[in-house]
Amino acid sequence: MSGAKELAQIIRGVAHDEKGRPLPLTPAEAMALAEEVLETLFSSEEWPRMLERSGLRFVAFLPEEWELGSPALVFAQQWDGQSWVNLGRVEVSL
Amino acid sequence: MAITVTMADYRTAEKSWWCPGCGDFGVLSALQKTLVDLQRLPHEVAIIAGIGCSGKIGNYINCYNIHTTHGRTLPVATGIKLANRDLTVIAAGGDGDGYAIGMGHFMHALRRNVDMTYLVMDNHVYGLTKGQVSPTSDAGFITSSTPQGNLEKPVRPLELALASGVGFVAQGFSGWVPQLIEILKAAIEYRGFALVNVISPCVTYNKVNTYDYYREALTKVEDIPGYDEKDRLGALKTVMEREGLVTGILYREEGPALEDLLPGFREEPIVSQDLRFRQEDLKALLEEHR
Amino acid sequence: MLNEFAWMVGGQQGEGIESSGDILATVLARQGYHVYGYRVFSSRIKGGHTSYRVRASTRPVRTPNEDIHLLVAFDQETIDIEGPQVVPGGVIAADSHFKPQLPPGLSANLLDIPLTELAKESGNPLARNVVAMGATAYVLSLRLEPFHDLIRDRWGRKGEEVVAQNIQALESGYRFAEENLKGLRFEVEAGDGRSRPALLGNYLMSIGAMAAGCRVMAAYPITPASDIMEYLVRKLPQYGGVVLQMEDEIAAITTCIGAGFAGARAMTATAGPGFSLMQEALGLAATAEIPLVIVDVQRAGPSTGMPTKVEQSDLMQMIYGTHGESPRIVLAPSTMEDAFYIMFDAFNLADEYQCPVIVASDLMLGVSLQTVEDEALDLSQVEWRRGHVAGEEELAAVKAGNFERYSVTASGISPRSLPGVPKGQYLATGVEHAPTGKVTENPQNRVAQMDKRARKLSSLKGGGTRYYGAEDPELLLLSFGSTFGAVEEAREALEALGKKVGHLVLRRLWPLPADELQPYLDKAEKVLVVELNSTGQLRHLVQMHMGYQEKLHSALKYNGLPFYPREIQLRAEEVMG
Repeated sequence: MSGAKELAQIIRGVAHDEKGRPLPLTPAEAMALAEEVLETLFSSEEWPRMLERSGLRFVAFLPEEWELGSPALVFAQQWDGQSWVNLGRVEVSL
Repeated sequence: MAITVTMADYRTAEKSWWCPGCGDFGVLSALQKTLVDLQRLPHEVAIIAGIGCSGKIGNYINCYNIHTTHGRTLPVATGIKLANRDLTVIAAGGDGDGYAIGMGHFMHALRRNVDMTYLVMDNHVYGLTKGQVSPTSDAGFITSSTPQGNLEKPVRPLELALASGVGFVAQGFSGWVPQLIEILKAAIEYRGFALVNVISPCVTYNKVNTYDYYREALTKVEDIPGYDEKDRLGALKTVMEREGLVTGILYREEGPALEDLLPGFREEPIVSQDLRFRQEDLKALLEEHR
Repeated sequence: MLNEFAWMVGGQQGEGIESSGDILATVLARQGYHVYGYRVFSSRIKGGHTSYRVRASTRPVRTPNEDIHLLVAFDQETIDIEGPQVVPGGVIAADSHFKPQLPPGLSANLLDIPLTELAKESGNPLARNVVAMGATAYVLSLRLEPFHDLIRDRWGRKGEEVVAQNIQALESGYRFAEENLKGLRFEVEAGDGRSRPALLGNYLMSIGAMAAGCRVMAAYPITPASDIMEYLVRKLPQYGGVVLQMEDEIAAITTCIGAGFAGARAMTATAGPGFSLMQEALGLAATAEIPLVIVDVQRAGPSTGMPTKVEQSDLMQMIYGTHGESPRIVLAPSTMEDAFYIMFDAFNLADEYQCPVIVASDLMLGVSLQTVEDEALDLSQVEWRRGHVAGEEELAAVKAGNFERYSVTASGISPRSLPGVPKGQYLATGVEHAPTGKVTENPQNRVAQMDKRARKLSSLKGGGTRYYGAEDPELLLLSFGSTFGAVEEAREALEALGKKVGHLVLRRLWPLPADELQPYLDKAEKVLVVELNSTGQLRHLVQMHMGYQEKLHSALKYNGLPFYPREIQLRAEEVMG
């Protein structure tokens, strides 16, 4: 599944544990997390495809759910104390 | 040859303004699927949207849309339906639009009973204005306008509707799209005012009333043994006992809509009638004042 | 011999004052008099002094005046309050029941008449007002037969006995006046024998709306506009229409916006407070370009003000109301006939220009009863114009979802599609939008859409301004709305005194028809703007858009009462110096 590399780059440096402490991830660990996130999201039957891991939230859209003719998308988000803010989005081809 | 309506007919090329994961996506796709399943033609559907995140639904669905002033979907929808009774009329808005600024119209639309569907995307928070308390927010809910926690009791739309005497009351959950489609189909086909309150989580400003929370907390009426959708009192009891955390068609009773009761209201829509007036009619009217 | 006379009945509200006035006005109208009936009522349902004034003439009358020839008093308060208006030699017919006293200084003749007793003797204690009608017939030298006819028409359904009682009451009043006044009565010129309909301006406006094609009416009760809803709810269903009493004025106007969006001709009617509540929705109709007609039957403001008193003080709100800048058309009827015809213009312009049209009526025009000439209301003179509505053919080439409902055209007017028509789907919204209706905040688009909407009204033609009087007037009177009749009488009085006076009556208040006003304003030495408000709103409007500051003078009245011709005449003489 493409997009894992870009997602790993977003994740690195922002992941944290349950108590909010920074969670340093090696490039390989970030990549593994990104792949697991994508795999889980797109194999899910749930709506919406949403997953919380390592203090972050990931939301996925199939083509046409977000905008007509778009690729599949995954958003990475972080809670800033008031709201969930987007860290970035990656395009994924399934 | 019958025209077949597909999902593509109801889509628009608009980019979404909603946040990723917003419950309103679920509502939108459920509504589009419902209209396809019912084979309603897009030009015979009118959607009346309010102000708020949910009010943007008209941008994303191809049919006749009107985006009203804040809180006024129901009277606008009333005017459309009376003017053209052949249309499928759906008012759609959020909990702030419907249960705060539009509450006056809500109560009266329930008892007026014009044939339309009212779809409320209820997320317990003001999203578009960035996270203030809403009329359906839980007591204690902390927002930018309730830093000490919400001191007021939430509005209970299902109980209000059941008490009003309206004939169709339902609640859906945007995480459960298949059930929502069934509810919407029944609501649109119901002759009269149909309330469909949809729990539609705000994924940006509400960390309490989340999808996970609702999946845990909600019960479908079909899973409640002996639930009878014709029993108004039973519905009220169930809704009250379960603090409103129940989905499905809660109450449905057939009866005449306002259009069936209006004196002289014609089958032919007003917009199709010849509006010219005859001199002899004018003469007869003036005769009454002689 | 009088060719015109005025009659008044006064008493406590709820004592049948209105029905008395109504009976007399109808009888007079049937005999060929021109009639102006004016009720002064308080907003209480029962109690409180109230009066009904009927002015009748063998010539058209379009305004009440201050003289009274016969005053019927059901209580002492009526004599005390209204007595001074009775002309020398006039009669006050007062019920003996309250032991009437004539205050010192009044030169009127008192007819102390046992109205209550005579009514009881007739067998119907409620027929006090019918006894008074008998006395009225004597004092004004009116024949009794037309009163008999009216009694039969009104009470015939209740049986012969009730009719007989009322006729006895009528005749006993006549005989009592005859025996006691002994010839002290007015000789009055006979009417022309042509029966004319006599009705409230609110009713004629309702008929006009219906004839113009209004099929959806939504409103909220408010004095003095409720008559319109009440009339239409009884009549409109016969023509396929529907009337709803809504939960508030916001619901009323938005229901009309919905109906207008769907393609029906829709209207609401209200007064100042309700119109204030409608302001936000007015902007929606203007921005989403939805035809809409609002009738504002103005009353004394601000806030609750004086609900049953007249004023013309909503002018600025009609023209500039709602936040932001948006087009609308404001029309003011000044006569009964125009109250009818103006509804055609209102609905036609709303459809053609796809914007709100506000009809600026007022309490005097709305709730006064006036006679109209049958042939003056002629449907062969009207049109039903629906503007640019795109039908299936025009829409056939449109790609799904791409209909340009708000296309930027030279005229500013874009084709409108109606729900139910294939390929015409679009989003109507008060949010700034692209030609397709889709929301955008693009700066160039914003300017293009603002300019397009504003441009629409530049093609408006024919404001309907009317002029009466001298070719080269020393003084030009400028008016709008119900003051028309009073201003005309003042002008005629001044003319009789040899003064050169002109009278310009505005019909379209907005956009201000500057091209129609300018020649008259240029020519006149002085201009007196007559209006029922305290700040001179019309005068300011003219000054702001056209100048002429040094020429403009105001005749203002805002005590709740209508202008009387004499007041305008005096003010005009003062201005002329």
